[in-house]
Amino acid sequence: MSGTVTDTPAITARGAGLVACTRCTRVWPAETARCGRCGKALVSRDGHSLSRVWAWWVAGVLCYIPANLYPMLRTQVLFTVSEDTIVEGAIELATHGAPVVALIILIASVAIPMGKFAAIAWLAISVRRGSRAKPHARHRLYEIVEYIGRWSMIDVFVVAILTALVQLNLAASIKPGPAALAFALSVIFTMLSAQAFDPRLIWDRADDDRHDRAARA
Amino acid sequence: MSEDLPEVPLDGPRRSLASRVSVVWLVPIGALAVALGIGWKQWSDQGPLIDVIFDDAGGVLAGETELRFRDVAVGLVEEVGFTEDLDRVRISIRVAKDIAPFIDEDAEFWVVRPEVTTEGVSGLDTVLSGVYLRGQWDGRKGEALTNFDGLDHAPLLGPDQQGIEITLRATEGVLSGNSPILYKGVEAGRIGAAGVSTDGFYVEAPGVIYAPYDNLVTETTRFWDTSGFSVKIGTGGAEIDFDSVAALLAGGLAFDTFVSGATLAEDGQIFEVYDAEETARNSVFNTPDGPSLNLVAVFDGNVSGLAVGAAVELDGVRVGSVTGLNGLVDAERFGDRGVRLQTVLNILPSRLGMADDGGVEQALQYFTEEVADGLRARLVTGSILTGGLKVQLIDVPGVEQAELDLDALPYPSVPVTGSEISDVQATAQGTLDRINNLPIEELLASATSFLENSARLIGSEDLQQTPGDVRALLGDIRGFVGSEEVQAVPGQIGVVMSEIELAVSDVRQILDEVREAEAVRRVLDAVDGATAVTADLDTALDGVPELIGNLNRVAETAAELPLDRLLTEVSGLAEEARAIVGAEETQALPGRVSALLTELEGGTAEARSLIAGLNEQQAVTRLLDTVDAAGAAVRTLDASLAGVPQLVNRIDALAATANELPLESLLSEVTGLAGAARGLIDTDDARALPGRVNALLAELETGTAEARTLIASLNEEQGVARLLDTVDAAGAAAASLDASLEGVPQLVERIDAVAAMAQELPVDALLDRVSGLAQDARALIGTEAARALPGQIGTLAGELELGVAEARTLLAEVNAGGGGESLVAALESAASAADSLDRSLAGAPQLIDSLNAVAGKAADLPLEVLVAEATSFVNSADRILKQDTARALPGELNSALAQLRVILAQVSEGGVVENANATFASAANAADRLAEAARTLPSLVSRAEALLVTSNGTVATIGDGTEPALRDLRSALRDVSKAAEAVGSLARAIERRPNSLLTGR
Repeated sequence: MSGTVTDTPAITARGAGLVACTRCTRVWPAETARCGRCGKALVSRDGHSLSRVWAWWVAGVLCYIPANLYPMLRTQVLFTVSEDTIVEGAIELATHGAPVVALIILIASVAIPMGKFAAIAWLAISVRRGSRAKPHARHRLYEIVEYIGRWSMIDVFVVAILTALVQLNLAASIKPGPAALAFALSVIFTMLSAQAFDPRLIWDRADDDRHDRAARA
Repeated sequence: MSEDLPEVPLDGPRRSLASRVSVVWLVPIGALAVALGIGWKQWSDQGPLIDVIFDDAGGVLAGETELRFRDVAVGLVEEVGFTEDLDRVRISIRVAKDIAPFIDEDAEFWVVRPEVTTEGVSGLDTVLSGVYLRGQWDGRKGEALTNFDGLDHAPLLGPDQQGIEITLRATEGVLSGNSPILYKGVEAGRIGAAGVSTDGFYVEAPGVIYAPYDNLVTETTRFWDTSGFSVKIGTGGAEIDFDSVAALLAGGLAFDTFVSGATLAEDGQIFEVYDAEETARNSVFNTPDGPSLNLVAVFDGNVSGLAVGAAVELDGVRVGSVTGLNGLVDAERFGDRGVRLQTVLNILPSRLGMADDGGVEQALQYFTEEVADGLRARLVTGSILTGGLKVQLIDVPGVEQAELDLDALPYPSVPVTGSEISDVQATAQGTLDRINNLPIEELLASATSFLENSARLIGSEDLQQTPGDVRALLGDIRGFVGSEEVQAVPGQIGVVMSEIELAVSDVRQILDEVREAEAVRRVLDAVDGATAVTADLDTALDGVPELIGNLNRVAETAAELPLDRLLTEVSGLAEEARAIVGAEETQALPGRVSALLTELEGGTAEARSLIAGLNEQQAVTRLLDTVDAAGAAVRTLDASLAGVPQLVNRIDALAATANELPLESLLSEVTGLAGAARGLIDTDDARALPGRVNALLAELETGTAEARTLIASLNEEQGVARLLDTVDAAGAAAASLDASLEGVPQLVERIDAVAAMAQELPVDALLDRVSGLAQDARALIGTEAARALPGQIGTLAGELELGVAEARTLLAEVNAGGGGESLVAALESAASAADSLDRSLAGAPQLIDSLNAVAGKAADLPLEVLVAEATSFVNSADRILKQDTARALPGELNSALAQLRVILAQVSEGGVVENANATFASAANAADRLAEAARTLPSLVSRAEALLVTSNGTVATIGDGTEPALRDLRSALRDVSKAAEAVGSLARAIERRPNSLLTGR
């Protein structure tokens, strides 16, 4: 038994029969139901984590569909009304000689959300099914997703600001399209999905894998 | 140790599905539900898709172009494609679900595009927003269709508009599409796009008449074109007519129903469009053409000018027209190969008042009968101007019997008669020939030259200047008439008239007085004598006008002189004189004179008796001789006066020279002199003079009476004969005078020459001097002594009066004594004296010659120098006058006069009467001596001659020695002074011994 332990680079709280409070980080005995310090319910591993991750993820993806199909901006110049979706707007910008801005929009509004969806899904699956990737890399990916998620709202901010500024009545006016709301919801749901993920599962799985390898050996 | 550790279960207790599944899953489920809900709703709300097919779809965009109904979007174009054969455009429109049921078979679709027409701009909003489709359907649901044909233009009747749809047809008029139909200027309908009818004969266009105007359209309604405008020029003036500006530009139709009561028009009815209202209006009444009767008439001869449409007239009423016209060659029928004209006459029975039904047969019957009665067709000139012909159906009396050929082809044939066209042409030709032969060119040439001349005349500067001259002349006349002088003329004339009136009254008064004094006769005598003198004077006065001219100039110069003062003085002088004249004594003068004249009359009567005596002794003859001599003398005088004109000229020139003299100063001096004279006259003594004179005249009167008595006594003592002798002697003297006067002309010439010389003299300076002399003279007059002179003279006059009284007494005494005899003796002596005078006068011519010579010398003298001398002499005289001695002269004179007065007083006091005889005796002696002296007169004359010669020399030498002469003059004046003193002493001596005066010692 000791041999197995010595291979372990670090003992986990759970391995030590302890449970840590995720709010104030105090460690309690495993049986403790609630944190004696901050009062939070103590769970060694959240069994609903992945479920919630997937639920938010699905909602986010659902919202992302209309966000791309419906127009993001409704621009009226004189008598001409144009409605552009996100991708159309970016393409239009690119064709009108602003490829950098188009690229930024594409990255912020298409590449990042899509990447987030993909990243969260992969993390959730890898926790369940295991992965060849090192836990360190996956944890880093999770942090990136968590960090970058908030910047996805930049597109919504642009729409909000433009709407507020460009209200020249008949001459020119910009109104947010239905996609703006959908996009904002999508971003929110994606962030919630990322938050719902318990990164400790990454490491639990890593331990299991090592035990498995040790047992086979 | 690790085994001691309690086993921590890795897997929690298995939970139920509800507990394992997170509530978060509700979020994606809700989202999905919402999405599905939205999708379903959208699908379920979607209306049907309809297809509208257009010829073209310019501006229609899929997803953008809307379908609008009453300007509300009810659908959106989803697809723009083509029909299967690609010849039309198919537009798929998604229409609103609730609208779809209404889009049934009556739905119409068209594309609204911006449109600019003459009536305005429509669809402007589509310029910016793009075109849109417009649908129109009624409000009833029907069976929904999905395939429609779109319209090229908006339908004429809008969705809410009611009205009738008609078709308008124009055979030749203009029918422009998309223009309004006007009724009395109000748009009552519209015309759609015009097109050519299928048979190609008409232009047709659909039209609508909006409600409620559709009630105005009946079957008899006429439409006409109102586009453009018409200009009519007639006797009522010019008239431009157009309906409205819009119609003018865009064209349009107007309609009106000229006949009421017709049935209303229905949809689809076809109306003819006329080119003008008048045509349309006429068509209402002209259209009942009905069935027509065709007749044929074949004319011979020249029928050019007849055309299809020419009128066919029956007794002047148009009953039809020529509808056919063609040549006809038919040798068999007409017997020659000449070309004839076959005309088809279209007769309208309705024009003959025959009903439509059976009218043709009725008309044919009518014509058959009329032709049998002589109705014929012939060609007459329809228009002289155009030479157009028309067919006339006319009754020709006495024509060959003929019938209407009912069997002729193609129509019944009417017989013809001679045309009435060639005559007119011939007449016109003759008229034109005559006009042609008129010498119009020459007339025009003449007119041209006339006009040119007129133009030249009118254009000449003189003529153009004439109005200006005339105007200037009028201006001058007006200025002249309006001048103050002319305006003042009437007033002046009035004044002159009043003056003349006064003068006439004065003259009348004078005449009255003259008549009273019987002066006329006397005056007549005087006039007789004056006439002769006047005759001479006449001659002498030839040069006077010129003299007057010069005098005028002098007067002009004088006018510029300060005459005012002089006038004032003269005026005062006149006043004084008037005062004198107004004195009672003066007033009494005429009476005196009258009395004197009475006396003279008496004396004359005596003299007449004396003359009667003279007559007895051939006195008349002698007197006549004397008169002859006198006449000769007068003639001589006359001759001598011949030179006078020249003299006058000279004087004239002299006056001209004088004209230039500085008379002002002289005038002022004279003025002063006049003032002084006035002062002199103003003295009491002067005023007393008239009285004196009066008294003197009284005395004279008495003396005259005495003289008459004396004459009467003379009559008694053969005084006449002696007087006659005296007269003889006087006659001889006159003859001598005559002879002596012969030299006078020459003398006059000389004087003339002297005057000429004088004319050239520098008189100015002399004048100055004279002026100064006048000044001095004035000063002299102004002296008290001078002022005392009148008194002295008055006193002297008084003395004279006394003396005359004495003389009268003397005469009385002479009368009493043998005075008459003494007088006769005296007369004898006088006669001899006259003889002597005669003889002495014989030498007078020589004397005159000498004078002439002197004058000639004088003329030859350097008078300038003489004048200068005279000037200096005057200067000297001036100086002398200024001397005390000169000033003392008046005093001396005064005293001399005083002496004289004393003498006279003594004479009156002393025994003058006693000495009268002696006096007369002395007078006789004196006469003797006078005769003796007269005898020595020739020698005296010769001496005088010698003296003159000497004086000649003296004058000649005056130029040399001025100063000595002056010195002499001064000494002479001194001598005068001394002489005055001597006179004074003489006076005193006479005072002491008055007799010495009478005795001649």
